[in-house]
Amino acid sequence: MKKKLLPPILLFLLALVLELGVFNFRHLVTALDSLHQRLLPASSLRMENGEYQDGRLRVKEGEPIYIYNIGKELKSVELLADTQGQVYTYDLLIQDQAYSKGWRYAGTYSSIWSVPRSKVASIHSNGKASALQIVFTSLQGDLFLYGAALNPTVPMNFSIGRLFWVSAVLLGGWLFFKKRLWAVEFCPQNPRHRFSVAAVILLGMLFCGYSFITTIPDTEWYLGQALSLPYTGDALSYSDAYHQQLDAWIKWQAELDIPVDPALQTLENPYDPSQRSEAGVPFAYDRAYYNGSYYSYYGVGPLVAAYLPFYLLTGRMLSTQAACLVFGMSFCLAMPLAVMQLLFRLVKRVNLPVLLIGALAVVLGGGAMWCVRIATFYEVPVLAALSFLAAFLFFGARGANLEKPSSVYMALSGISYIFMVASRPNFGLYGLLLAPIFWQFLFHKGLPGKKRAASAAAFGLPVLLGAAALMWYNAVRFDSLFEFGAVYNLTISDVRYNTLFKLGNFFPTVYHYLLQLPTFDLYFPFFRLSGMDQVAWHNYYYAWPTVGLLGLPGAVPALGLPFLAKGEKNRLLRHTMVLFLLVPLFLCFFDFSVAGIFTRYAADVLPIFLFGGVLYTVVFLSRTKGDSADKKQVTIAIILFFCTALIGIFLSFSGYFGHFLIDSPKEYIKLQTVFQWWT
Amino acid sequence: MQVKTWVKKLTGFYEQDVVQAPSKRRPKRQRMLMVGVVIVCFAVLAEIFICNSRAWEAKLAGLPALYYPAQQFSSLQDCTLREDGLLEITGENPVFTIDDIYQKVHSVALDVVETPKPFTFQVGVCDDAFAKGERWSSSFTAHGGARRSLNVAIRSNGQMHSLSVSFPGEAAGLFVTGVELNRPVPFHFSWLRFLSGAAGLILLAAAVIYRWDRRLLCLRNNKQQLIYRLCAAVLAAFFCFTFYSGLPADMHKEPHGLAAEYHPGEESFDRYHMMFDSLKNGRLDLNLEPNERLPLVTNPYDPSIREELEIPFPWDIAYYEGKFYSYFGVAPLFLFHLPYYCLTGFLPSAELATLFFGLLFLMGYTLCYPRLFEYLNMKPPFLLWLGGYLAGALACGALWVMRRPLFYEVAALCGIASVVWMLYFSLQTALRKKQKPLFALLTGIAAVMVASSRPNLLLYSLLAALPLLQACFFDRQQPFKKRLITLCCLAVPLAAGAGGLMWYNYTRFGSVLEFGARYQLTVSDISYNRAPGLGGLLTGVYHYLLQPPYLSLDFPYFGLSGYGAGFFGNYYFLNPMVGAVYLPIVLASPWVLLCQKGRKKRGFSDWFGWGLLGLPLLMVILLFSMGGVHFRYTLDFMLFLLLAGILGGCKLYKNTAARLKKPVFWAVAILLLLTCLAGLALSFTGEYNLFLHNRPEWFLNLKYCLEWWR
Repeated sequence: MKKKLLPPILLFLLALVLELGVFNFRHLVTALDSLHQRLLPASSLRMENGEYQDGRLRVKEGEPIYIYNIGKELKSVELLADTQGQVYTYDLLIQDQAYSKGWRYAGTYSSIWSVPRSKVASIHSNGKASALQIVFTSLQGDLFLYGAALNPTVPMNFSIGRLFWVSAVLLGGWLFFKKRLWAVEFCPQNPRHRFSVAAVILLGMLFCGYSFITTIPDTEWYLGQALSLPYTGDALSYSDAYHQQLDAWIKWQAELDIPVDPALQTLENPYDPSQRSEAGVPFAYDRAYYNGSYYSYYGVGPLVAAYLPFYLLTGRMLSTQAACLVFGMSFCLAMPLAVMQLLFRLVKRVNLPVLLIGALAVVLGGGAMWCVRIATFYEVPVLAALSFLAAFLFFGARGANLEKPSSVYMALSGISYIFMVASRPNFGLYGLLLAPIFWQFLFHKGLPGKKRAASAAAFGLPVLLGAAALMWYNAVRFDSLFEFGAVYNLTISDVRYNTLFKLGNFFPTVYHYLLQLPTFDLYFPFFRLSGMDQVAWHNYYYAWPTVGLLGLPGAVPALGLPFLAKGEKNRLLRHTMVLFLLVPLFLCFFDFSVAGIFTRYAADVLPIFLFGGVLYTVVFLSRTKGDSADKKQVTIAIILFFCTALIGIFLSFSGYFGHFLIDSPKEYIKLQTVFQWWT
Repeated sequence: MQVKTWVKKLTGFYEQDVVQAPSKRRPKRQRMLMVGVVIVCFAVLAEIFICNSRAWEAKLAGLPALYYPAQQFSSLQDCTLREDGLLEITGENPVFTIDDIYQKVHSVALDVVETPKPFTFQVGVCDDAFAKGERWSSSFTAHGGARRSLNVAIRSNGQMHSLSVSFPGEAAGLFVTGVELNRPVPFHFSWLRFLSGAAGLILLAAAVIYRWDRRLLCLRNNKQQLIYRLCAAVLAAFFCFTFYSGLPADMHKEPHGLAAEYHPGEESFDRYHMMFDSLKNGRLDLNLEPNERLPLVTNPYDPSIREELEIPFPWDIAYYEGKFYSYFGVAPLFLFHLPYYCLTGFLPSAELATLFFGLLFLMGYTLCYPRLFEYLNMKPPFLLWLGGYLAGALACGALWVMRRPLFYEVAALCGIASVVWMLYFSLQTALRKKQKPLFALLTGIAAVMVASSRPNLLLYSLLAALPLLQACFFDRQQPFKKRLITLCCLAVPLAAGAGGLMWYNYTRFGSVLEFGARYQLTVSDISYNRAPGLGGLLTGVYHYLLQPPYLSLDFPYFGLSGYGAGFFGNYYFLNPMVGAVYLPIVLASPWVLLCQKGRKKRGFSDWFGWGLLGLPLLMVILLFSMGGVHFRYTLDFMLFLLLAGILGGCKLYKNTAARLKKPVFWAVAILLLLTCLAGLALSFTGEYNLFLHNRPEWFLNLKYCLEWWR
């Protein structure tokens, strides 16, 4: 027993040593150094036309503050600030023996009083420093300095979370190699294996919950407000198109209850942004305008699935963040199940660690989490479609099981499919992913005809009913069965001119959706969506920060699916593999041609590319001769998917407007001090 | 009946596995011939119909060409209409407009008077979808000499109402004669595109059909030898092209071409010319008088003091005890400048020196590369081996350095050339059945050249000397006396060179180990540069190994990026960079170590692998802490890291199970191909984009050859 416990204890001790000795080395360096510490009062801080109140200096944005006559070697600086809990960001510039007549940039620092480690800036003077300049670049309110400390000890930043995760990774690594976890194959009947899948789901949901919590501003935090809004009956009081649409439904109308400016109707082409701009016509941005009324062209799936039931139950409106949370959580629940179900249905020998980490990578790395973080109503249909897609794949693969066919699961799959299409119509293409499985199921001679017919009806009925309802809804609004209203959108361009079949779109699609790398630097959160707007694509497309398939290493193997499929004897697997690449590729082309480049459009395809990457890896490993997969290959695959999950997490931290820092500065800076431990 | 069969087939589609049809394959030669014909036909059709799509588009669309002379331009801003009808671009933000077009447009062609410099322009379109303003296109780089670059694809949505053209960047002095809309792009069959495309596809087909993944390296095979030599010749030609395309087009007007007349005592930008002048006059310091205020300041190395007191000083020159010295290695002077002067009576320019050392490097690398595989007793597939050779030469940074032909690069190229020659001589000594002391002597001389051109490269000397030392100490087949003589032959030039260098250092800087870099007058006081802490270490690793490249859809697609990595003291250069892992074969470098497992005892070749991977990493830290971040510095380690990657890829192939050999072969081949392409792309730009600026017609013709759709 003792022998068994020894390695985990040693690994925990190693993690502890890393936590104290490496992640806190700045603390050790400053604590052990014999540098003279000095406390300076506010009167030592010089500022042109500085306002001193009660011995405190009032800070102004952009106005430099000087500390002269230091005469000491500097390793750290702390500004003693009297704040109301706000974040303050400042640049430090230094004069020292190597640069004595000018100012050398010495770093930018963000601090908040509640995170002690963030208050001390680590700097290095070359020889003795003679003066210091502080320029506050971002202030959120009044800030007073009552002094500065030179060479204070950098506070110990003992992070239980970091210790836990480092220990977990070390322990996981030990188990992986020592206990031959790399050789374990997934067995759905094994309770341990089921528990592992549940753990992955829980992990995803925890992160999703954390993302939700940190989207709510620190100052306004209470759950009631975060989850719902009161129903006012005034569509203009809401900015969320779903709230406006729900308001319209409550009033039994399809068009939004937003008055249309008469000047808009007089314009020659109201969809031309330049005409609207020149005429100075006020209009509802990103709403469809047709026949003198405004409509919401966003898929009604989320409205029916979440907003409406919530309103019927509580009489209040579901908040946008909460809607993102609901669909984000559903995605975290359904996607690992879909990965597990589909892989087990297609490949009989599924490596367990690859399945688990791969599923985690699909959940965390595929873009759904950055949608939860951004949490505007634009992200709601994407998240809803992703969660319904996962449900469709899971229920479909489960229901079309040759050994245990189930009409209930098929019905659920059909409902999920129609909700997916109703949320984001372009996702309808993903129905093809299950086409081989459904085909095989439908014509499988081993199954009784009645059973097959029942299952087909269970799937087909909700799909047909849903499709009819959608068509009716389209016809009511836009006089066309297939028009969802996006072409009547009042946005940055006249969307009617966006055309799908233009070969010139091919190269930009390949670049932006496949090759575009995230920016990577050493500032937390290290990875950011890159905004490389390479070419103005005739200026009719959005060009926002995004990331391509190549930016997520776990998705890269998906590109090899056709090559792997070539040697595959099992037709079902063969065709599914090809479809897992072709369908998202076509969707890339479609998204680019019709809409353009945007963070959330990448989320349309990245989860499926990642799924394809996992599929490739699992099939590749299953072809190993002998009883178990190759250790090196499994290790590489695990590292690949682990890195993908990490990149996904970091990308979700950065978002594209820096939401995290704006909404939850305390949490953000806390994470910054934990991850960016060396500065 | 037939319908029934089809229904049966369709419904039972997923019931059975794919059945492999019995092989009825034709002989390989016949298949290759057929595939070759298909490829050529495809290439011809692609060239005619796809790559010339803009020529066809104009014809098929049937849109009338509309010509607008400069007199019809309106809303002129920062440009003047001259009496002769030309529009002269004068100011900083020149814009002109063409109104009342009301025609569907698919292309816009500028007519300009040819000027030596390329320029950029943007087109703003007002059309049915954007009728009350202008939507601006991205920038197009153009030049009067490259007609295709002036005719760009701008498609209106519906009818175009008006059109504006602006010229961001420096365009003053440009004359526009007119603008033509819907001008057909002339049909152009590009032989370069056709031949390279067809050759690439045929090679790929041959590799698949003839199973080149099974053809192993055999250094005695005449065919392989011939292909290798051919590749070396092509590479040498490309090195020359890189050199030539970076030269100003009017170079022939210079009185002495690429050389300069020697005027005693004249100040020159090229530090080697000044060093030559000093040596000729029997002195070690440069013939420059410091400003009288410089010795009086407390710390002349502090740039802020020099700036505040406005003291003039020569940039990047060592200042010590009232005299100026060049801290650049002296080897290039003796290897090239001095002999050139003796032969011609002129001093060679830095461009010529970089070409010389570039070719010297290529020659050394070409000789050394097969010997290295022989020494390591490796026989990878020939295609991987050859790809590795090309990737090493193209991506090691030598070409990029040649695109920036300054005296800094001369020292860097001389250093790396000396290292490969040292390795070659050392391998020659070790691999010969009978040791030849001459090679040991040459190894020693090359080591001295390494130290006297770029001292930090001495780090590799031990690695380069490893085969020779192995032969001297452990090769029992050789008589002891012979080995002793070989060792002496190595030691003598080493001792003499080290003595000479130490004397040279001591005489100048009062220290035998001081080369003078810390006394240079540059962006910072270098004496404060020190070994980095943990934070600096991460930053250095980030910049040199991990920093992402700048990928774009604009030729040459892959370039250096300027992402920051956080604060690190500001005592370092921070220039655009790309991390080594984006030269993808480097990703295979860990296998140079991993595949050693299983052996009972590590041999010298194993230690060589460790050195190939470990020393570049050490060099990265050294470079970052002493110099900073500059792509030129990557030349100091990239070649060895690439070699580690190439050897790693080959070892991976060797150690893979038979069933996986084919995918591994193709994976490594793709990595090598991507590395070659990345190296090529980097070589087209360099730091100052000399190719575009000096040969805009070539650059732009190449660009539009690849980007036919623009």
